[in-house]
Amino acid sequence: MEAELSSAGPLNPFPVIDDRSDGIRFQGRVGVTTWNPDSAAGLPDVLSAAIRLRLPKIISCTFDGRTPIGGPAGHKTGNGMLPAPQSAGQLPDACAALPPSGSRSRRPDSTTRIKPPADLVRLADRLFLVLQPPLEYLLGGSTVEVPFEPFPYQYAGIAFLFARSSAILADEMGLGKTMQAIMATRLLLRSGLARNVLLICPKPLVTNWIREFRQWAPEIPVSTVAGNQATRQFIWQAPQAPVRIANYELLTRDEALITSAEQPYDLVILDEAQRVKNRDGATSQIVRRIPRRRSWALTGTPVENSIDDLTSIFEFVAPGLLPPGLSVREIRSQAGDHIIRRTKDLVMSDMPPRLIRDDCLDLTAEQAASYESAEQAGVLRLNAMGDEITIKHVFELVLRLKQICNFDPATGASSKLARLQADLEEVAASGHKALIFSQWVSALDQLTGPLERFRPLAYHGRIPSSKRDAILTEFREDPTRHVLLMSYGAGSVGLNLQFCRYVFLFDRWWNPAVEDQAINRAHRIGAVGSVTVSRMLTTGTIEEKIHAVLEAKRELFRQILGDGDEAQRPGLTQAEIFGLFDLRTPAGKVVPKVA
Amino acid sequence: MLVVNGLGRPVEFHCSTPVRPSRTQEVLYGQTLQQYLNCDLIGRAMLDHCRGTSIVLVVRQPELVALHGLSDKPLALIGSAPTAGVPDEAAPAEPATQPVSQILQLKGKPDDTERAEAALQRLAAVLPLDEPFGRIDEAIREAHAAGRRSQTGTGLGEAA
Repeated sequence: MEAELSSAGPLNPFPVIDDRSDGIRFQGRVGVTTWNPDSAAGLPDVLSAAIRLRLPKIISCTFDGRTPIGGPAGHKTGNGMLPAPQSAGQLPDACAALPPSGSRSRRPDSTTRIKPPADLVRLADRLFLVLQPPLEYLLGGSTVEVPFEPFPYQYAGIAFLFARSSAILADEMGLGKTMQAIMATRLLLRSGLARNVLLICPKPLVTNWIREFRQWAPEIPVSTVAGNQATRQFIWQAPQAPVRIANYELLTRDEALITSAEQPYDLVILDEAQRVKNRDGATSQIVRRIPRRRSWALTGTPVENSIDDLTSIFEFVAPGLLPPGLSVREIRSQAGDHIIRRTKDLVMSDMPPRLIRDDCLDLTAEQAASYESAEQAGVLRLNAMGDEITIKHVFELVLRLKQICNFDPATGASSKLARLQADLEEVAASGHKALIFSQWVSALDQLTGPLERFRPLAYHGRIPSSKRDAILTEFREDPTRHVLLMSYGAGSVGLNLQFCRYVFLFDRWWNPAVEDQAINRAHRIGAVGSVTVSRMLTTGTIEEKIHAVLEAKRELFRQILGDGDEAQRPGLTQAEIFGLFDLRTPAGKVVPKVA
Repeated sequence: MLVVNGLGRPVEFHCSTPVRPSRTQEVLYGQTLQQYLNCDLIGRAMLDHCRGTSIVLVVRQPELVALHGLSDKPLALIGSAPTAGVPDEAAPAEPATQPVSQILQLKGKPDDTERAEAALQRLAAVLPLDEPFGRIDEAIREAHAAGRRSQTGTGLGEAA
């Protein structure tokens, strides 16, 4: 019996309010049922047949077995387990968590619906997502409390992640990727769609994630994978932890435990996913072997050096979706539904401005003499190496020259230091705080003495992880501490230092994306005012050449990836590093070997 | 038709394929055709498919109030309340806001309607009473799109 289809719109939708409470099992079902012809009984045969031929099909979908998103109000229990979603009828009063009768829901200015991803096949799954209330009502009610109202773009990010098993959240740094991932995870856990989640992040960020989980998902027990091997093994195999946090450094040590898990993880999240940009790296290979049902990657810099960075991340998120060799257009087409990226310029028009100032400084006389001598000797030596030259040799010279741009090795003279001291006088006098970044810990050490009157604190790779939080707390709370000396490696990701109004890049990193990450420790949501960034640059030196190359590449990538994507900036390639010096041999242009 | 629990979360969903009345139906039902289609044909089918126990049936189209005769559950018609009185031109203009849906009619046995009204008030504390209708519209579009794709063999279908 076929129903006749027409282009008519939906007919007569009406909801029924039901008093059943939340279900427990994930047991959606779709059935297609036709009208019972007996219902036309009693009519003349001809008429009955005519009517029956026009009867509609009914598409039915029940969600009895699924815990509604948001789920029953849950509480952390003594054994650390997330309370199991309760089935219909088990809650003593389904409305117990509701506001008192008579109050009325506030209608938000805008609402965010969960939309099914393009590759979600089952109609029941698609309808389950489409039929959820807007996130503003899910999160704004009393059953899933949030410490404060998310921004609309954050609601959109939560909805994006929740609906996808393969997703990259690539928001620019400072827009709240952590919070969005936690809230989407929380909704998955509360709805019973996920029961065991593994989060992998850089080691310095573990405490930050724990803190954020406490704030945004206080009822979700979180365990950290740490300790000796026996302890870690216990944690890996403990069944009662809905969320485990591990750091990247552990992956190689615990590879067997992670990749041989009996039950696949319902969700694996990679924070700072640019860590797996090298497809052949050990970390990349291990994360790809973790058994899992959902894969999310969080990164503010999905493309650091080349499109290969993105395709490598996709090897974890959606294996096989982006085979090597695709054009930019093909990548955008294939990956578009799996990646979401927002920049501050696009979504945070009310953010305080970020004022970037290039401090172009002349070297001191002592620095200039040392620089000239080192450059001449270095270039001569490289040229003399002929075809034996490798990227490593050139890199050593670049580093040597950059260090001289910071400090004269013989006398310690530094034009940057002189300028920095003058600027910090103003910062301290106005009661503000500043972050100073360098790629070398030795340079930070060298700054400590001359900046003593500003009572600097240091935060870099040589500071034990156990002491880092205390340093940040002291810097934040002690008004006499005006300066935090940070290395790009330790201080550029995941830290919230939005109370700082000044950022100094004492030397420049190879990759502007890393510099942006550093800057965004201060310029992020919650920033108390404009953030002034001073990029120190010595004129006529290797720093100026690197800056010029990077600016040119930034423009190129802007053209490829769009105007709104300033942070998609590549670093220097091998050929470009060689190009910093006009290296020649008697046989002609040096052809570098790959190191 | 969407069945929601006390928190507004979906429990069941039913929709029909689009219906085009036949010439016979047009002649037979005349001016009552739309009510026949809405209530007797589609509404009854959906009520029959509803599995759970429900408290109240909510509609937002006045012509669907006739569904009350097909179900033993109370029926509520919701909509924007009519403006009372003449607006005071001297009063400062209030910012434009979307009208709040209210219960315009509530039919049923006294005990049932009392319970239904309490349930609706609790739901209104979570979300606006007309909000689920937006979800229904979206879901019907989704289901019909899946049906079209299934017919043309272009991917998403009505998988069991």
